[in-house]
Amino acid sequence: MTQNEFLLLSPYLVIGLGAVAVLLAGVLPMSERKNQGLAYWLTLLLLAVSFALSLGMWGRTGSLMGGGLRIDAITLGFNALSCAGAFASLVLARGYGPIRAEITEAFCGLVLFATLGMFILVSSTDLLAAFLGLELIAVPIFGLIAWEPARRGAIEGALKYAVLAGLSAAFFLYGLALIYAGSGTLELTALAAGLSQAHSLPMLTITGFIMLLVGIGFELALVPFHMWAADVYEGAPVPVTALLGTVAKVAMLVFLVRVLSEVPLVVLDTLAPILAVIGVLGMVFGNLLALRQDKVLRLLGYSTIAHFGYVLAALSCSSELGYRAALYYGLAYAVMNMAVFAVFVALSGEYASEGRIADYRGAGRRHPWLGLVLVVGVVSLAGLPPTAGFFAKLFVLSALLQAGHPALAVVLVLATATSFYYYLRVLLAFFQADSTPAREASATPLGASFVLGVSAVLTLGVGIWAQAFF
Amino acid sequence: MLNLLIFLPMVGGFLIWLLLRRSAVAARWAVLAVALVEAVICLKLWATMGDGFFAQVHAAWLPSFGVQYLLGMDGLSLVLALLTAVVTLGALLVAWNAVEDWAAFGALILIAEGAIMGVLCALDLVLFYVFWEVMIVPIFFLAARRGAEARRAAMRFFLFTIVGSLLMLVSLVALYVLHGQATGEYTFDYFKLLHTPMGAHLSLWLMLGMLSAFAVKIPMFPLHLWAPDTYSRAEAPVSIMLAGAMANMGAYGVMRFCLPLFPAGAQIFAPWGMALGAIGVVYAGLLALVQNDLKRVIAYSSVSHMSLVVLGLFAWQRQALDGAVFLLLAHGIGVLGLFAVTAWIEARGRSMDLDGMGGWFKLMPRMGILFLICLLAGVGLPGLANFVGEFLVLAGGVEVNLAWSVVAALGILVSVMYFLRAYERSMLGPLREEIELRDLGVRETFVMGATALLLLWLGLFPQVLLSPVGAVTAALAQMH
Repeated sequence: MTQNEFLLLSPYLVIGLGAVAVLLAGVLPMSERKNQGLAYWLTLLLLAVSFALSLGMWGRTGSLMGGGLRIDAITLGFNALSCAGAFASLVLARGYGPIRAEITEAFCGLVLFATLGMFILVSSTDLLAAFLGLELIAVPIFGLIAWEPARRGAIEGALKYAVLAGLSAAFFLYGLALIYAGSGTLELTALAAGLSQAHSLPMLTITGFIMLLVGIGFELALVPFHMWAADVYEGAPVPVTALLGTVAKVAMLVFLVRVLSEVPLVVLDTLAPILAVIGVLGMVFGNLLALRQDKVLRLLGYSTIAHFGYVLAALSCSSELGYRAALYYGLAYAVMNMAVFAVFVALSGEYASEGRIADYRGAGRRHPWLGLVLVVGVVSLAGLPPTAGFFAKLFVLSALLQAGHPALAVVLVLATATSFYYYLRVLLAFFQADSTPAREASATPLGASFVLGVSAVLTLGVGIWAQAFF
Repeated sequence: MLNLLIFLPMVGGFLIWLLLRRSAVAARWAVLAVALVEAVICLKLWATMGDGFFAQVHAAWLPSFGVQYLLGMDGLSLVLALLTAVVTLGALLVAWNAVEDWAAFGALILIAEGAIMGVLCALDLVLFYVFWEVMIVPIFFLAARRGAEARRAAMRFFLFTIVGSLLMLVSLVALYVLHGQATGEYTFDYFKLLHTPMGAHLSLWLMLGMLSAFAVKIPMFPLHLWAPDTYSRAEAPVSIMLAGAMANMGAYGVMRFCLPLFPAGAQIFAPWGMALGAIGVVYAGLLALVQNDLKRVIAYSSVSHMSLVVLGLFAWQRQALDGAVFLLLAHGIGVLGLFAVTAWIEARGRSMDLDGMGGWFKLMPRMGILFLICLLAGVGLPGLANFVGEFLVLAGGVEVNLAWSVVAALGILVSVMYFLRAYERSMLGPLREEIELRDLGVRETFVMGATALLLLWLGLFPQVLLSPVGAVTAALAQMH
């Protein structure tokens, strides 16, 4: 391994070896509280170091592990985002009442392993490496979902996720087998050459990619594989949802973009219409199902489905612009969802954490700052300017029209218009005058305030300075 | 200068919300001060006005996507900016004692005002869209302030608006793509997009996409369904902002974007536009005639007047366009006075039900007289502002399409009926019950008096505000 390779690999090493170290920190002969504290702070440090390393290498490119991992600007950027997301989730978890005392070395270790999975998934050009990354995300996460077993629906959510993740892994693996059988390679970059050989079987490969898409579809909760999303969102501790619902999904998305931009045209031509159909289904069903939700977290779960519908519509353009729009959407999606989840974590002390929309009546008036952050986050989710969510939609829209899909564009805006109904319900409830007797307004923990501030500023900043990210 | 015009109220509003949350009185004065400065800036711009687009501001924003930060002002936007500044001041004075949480209320009003100024100045289509949407959010929160009914009305308002806006967004981006494919230059620059080659059919569809956003705002028949409810459920100052300032943005959008960007499509649509305008005048007028709630009468009258503006816009002829702009001014000032009256009545603890009123002229002669002046202006009495606008619109309209102009003229006749009916039932006749009603106080008299004076001034010297608009409407009429 050359020095350059070692340097490029350093964020991976920091997180991977660090995860083991964090697990060891738990068995040091100290009091339980000290052990937990050590593991927690060590994890934050590791994530910060890895974040800094990823950004510090900005501009470098290279391929590692015999071509299985590729390091480029996209990889580095999304690696840094994964670190930031994991960092934020961990900080939120520490300020989240129900599991505050349960942030053990195991929790931290699982978060780190999931982060490593995101790293691998984001950078892999070898499908087998991608599978490794996928499982490294999925397995820790279903442990994390059930971290608060007493919570209603926690076990149910974790089980659903575990079963479906298993199913998705099966599809994914079967797809790999077919791809390999058809083309003789699992490396995305070598695929075109493999398919051009005389004894290749393009049909098998194409079928394999469809299986692969199904596998990814489960993880991204695309319609019709979306059944788990709302239950998991409702059952998991909110900080875990914040991890799963922001960076973990974005990592999957980046991988999907990478697959689409590398596969040969034959495959792409088959995949594009499928993506368009799934995209439309996601936009329509995600929004329609969200309309009838009374619980905030379930609502966010369905809104996620809708968001990935928009992203898939962009991907179905199979154009450079579409891919860039999708990646930008991923970034915007991560920051704005983090802002919204942070608000609900901050309010979890005062309100039941799986609360109904109506329960939050007047919360925005009692906590003006939280209200402001929620406005920024929800306005961005809804896609109003000048937030990141708006520019994401703008780019998607222009990719669609550029590629000559005006019908998809109209579906997209009508679906977006529908989404305003439920987003506004949340905002209205937040700022409604409250008739119930005044409760003790609890102070927001420092860590959560930090996450709130950063994610809200980023939601605006990524939008207004879209030039830097697009 | 234009940056200041847009961001002073936005930043000021935010800071007031941030710093003066504890003290309603201080917040109130601060809000008023910002709005006054804003009005002074507008006057200063008027004094330094140049030809074409003056005071341009230009900066790169998203160059790889063809988006720039481009502001500029011409006679049309200047006149509407002046109106917005005046109407905002009026709304604040109307709200003076009626609102408790001034920090939030004032901040929202100021942010809305800044966004409206942004809409008027933006010459990049994405920038325009940004301000357009930013404008709705504070207004939505303002309109939803009073109870469940208001929330429902505000929600309906928002959904109507957003569907229109999003369709406009599709049109904008489609125009951008078309221009890019035709010339190789992908840009949202207004001036460059002006001459995008496209077929008449496509042009019509894109025009309709944009119009859907503007028509909702105006509110143009048959997309007016949100308006009466929202106007009448919201507090008076909010209704003033909605009808007096924000509705104008719809008409402005038609003149600035719909007609010049898609001349071929607008040409096809223009007769239909005139028809919808004329129908709207009569339809809303007839509905105003049967309302038993003073605020709803005013709401429908506002819809009726704005429909006349629509007729003028789509007549697409110089006098008619002049008249439409002037009617916007007259209507804006007029609804300020009329909704202010409802605020005064509410401040005295009375309901808006016309059945519960009657004979109040004896109790409140000052209000009676000033209210009458506003009503007469709305009716189109010569010497007051509306007359000029209505006359020009109809004079221009007759030249283009006699039939629909006659229908609209009949609609104006209806306005005489509903306004006089409302006045008769509220102010004249015997007292229904023995009550004590204070006449207008100093602040209230000032607002009403200033409104009446402005209406009179505009009616007597229309040229002052018609001349800045003249060049714009002349250029627009030539495209027809």
